[in-house]
Amino acid sequence: MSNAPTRRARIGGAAMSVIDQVVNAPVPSVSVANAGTREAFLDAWVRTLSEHAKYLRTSGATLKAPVVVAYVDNTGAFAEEHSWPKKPMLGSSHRDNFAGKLIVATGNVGACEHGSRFADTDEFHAAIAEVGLQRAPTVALMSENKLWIWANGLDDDVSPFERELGSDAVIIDLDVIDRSLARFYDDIARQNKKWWMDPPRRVTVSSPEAVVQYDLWVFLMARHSEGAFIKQETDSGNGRSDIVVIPLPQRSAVGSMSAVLELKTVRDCFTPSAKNKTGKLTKIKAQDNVEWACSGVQQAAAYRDNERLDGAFLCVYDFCANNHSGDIERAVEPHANQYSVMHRVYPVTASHEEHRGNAYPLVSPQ
Amino acid sequence: MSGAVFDGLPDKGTWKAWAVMCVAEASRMGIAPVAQPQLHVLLYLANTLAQLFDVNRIRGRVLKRGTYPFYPDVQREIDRLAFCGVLSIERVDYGPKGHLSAHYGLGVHGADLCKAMVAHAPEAQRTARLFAELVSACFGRFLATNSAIGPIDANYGDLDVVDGQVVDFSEWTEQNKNLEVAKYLMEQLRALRPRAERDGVRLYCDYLDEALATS
Repeated sequence: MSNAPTRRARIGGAAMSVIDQVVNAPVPSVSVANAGTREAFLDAWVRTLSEHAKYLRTSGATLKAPVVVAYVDNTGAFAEEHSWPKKPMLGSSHRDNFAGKLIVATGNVGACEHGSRFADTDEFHAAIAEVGLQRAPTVALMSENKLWIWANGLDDDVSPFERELGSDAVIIDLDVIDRSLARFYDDIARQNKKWWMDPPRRVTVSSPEAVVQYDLWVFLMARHSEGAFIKQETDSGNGRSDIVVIPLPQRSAVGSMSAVLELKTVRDCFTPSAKNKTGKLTKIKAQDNVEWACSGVQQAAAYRDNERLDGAFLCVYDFCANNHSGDIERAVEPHANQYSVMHRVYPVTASHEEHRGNAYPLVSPQ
Repeated sequence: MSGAVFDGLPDKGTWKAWAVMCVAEASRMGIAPVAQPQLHVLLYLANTLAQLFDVNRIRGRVLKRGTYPFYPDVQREIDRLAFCGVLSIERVDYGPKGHLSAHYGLGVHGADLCKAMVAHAPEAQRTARLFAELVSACFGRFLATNSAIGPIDANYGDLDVVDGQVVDFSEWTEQNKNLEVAKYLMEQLRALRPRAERDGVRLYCDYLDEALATS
């Protein structure tokens, strides 16, 4: 006679057999952010359009015209203002005929769409400009193999993040994540004009960590969300945010690994209020920046251990004038080594001249 | 809108606030109008899963009658909200035995009222987030086509409660089987969801969708 505990067949009116089907679903319905936020919108529509592209490929069809989906905070109000027809079920099926549609949405399901279907990108751009959505986060399926994502709208200085669709399951391990971080730095971060409010005085936009974190999250999501959840989590204590990369068992190759990315920004001064843009700046002491960066080691290690993740990265985006001195790197390194946190310091440049010096340093003659 | 005044319906103000926030979130997502059965299902699920969003549920009881949870006393207040312009009735379905079922949108005063509530109370902000999550999860799955969750809902479908009796999950948390299912699912999928209580709502709605598809 077995002494193994017998498993309940039901929890109240819910059958365990059905509950287990939810647990074993190919892509569990785990959200990356609160419903209705731009992050949840981007994640959901990237998935829906990627699934649509897969559906077209497997049925031997081609996408007749691009599909463009833009985010607004309130679809109902937008639809009313512009007299666009509402489509309450749009987004719930990837088998819908999306070709040529310009869609505006807030969440994973429910949307409104332009009354016409468009054939080329110029028509889409004109229609988007007409309703003032050039700065809205936007996803576009350009063909059954290519998806573009504009984190901050079509008129952003930064090129869209492109995703090639149709690849087999890939390994997403710590090396892959590290390479993506390096690519983000080279393509987006090193010379990002949008992160500066007043570059000559080295004044960043306010809450630079949130701005950097959003751009990095979209970049990683564009590259890896077919095989992993790329999640943002906000600490309730001081409002800081982390990014967590968790490979999906059914969508990623054996050997994939999970990681937390702890972001820190260090800068020379606080961002003045809008009323006091040209006034005297409140400086931040170098030692305070060092301590701030080092605190990320503890946070990254604790998060990794609490959530049983495979790795932890500390990414410091250094906006300071002396960001080539190596001070932050030297201060962080022993602590990071102590707790096996991979630490990366990325200097952010404020001018073309500084960028050239950073990207193409000249070696001093011996 | 205080929830303490007893005027026929206990917590009348809170019920009204919930109904407005629910329809407002559906409107924001482009899903409104919300049919009467859909609205009652959302209000019921919000009561069972409120704890996941640190929200105080209003009522832990519902009469088991019919294929979906329905609050007749709350319905009267919903109609009052429509007649005073906070909600709007965008369509009416005529059912058997003269039964009317309205589809509710946000009325001319609804958006401002909702904005004011959410701006002034953290509890209201959490409640709005709960409804945003519920609306997204339910309409992305089963609720657009099927409101009959009664037989497969963990609380309402409990075979120990026969038709005509009250489903009661008000006294003890462990009597709330919906929450138990949500927590079980979260635990099973813990590796995929660090620090995300919101996923309990989505996962429970996944269960409802799966159960409706296989029942």
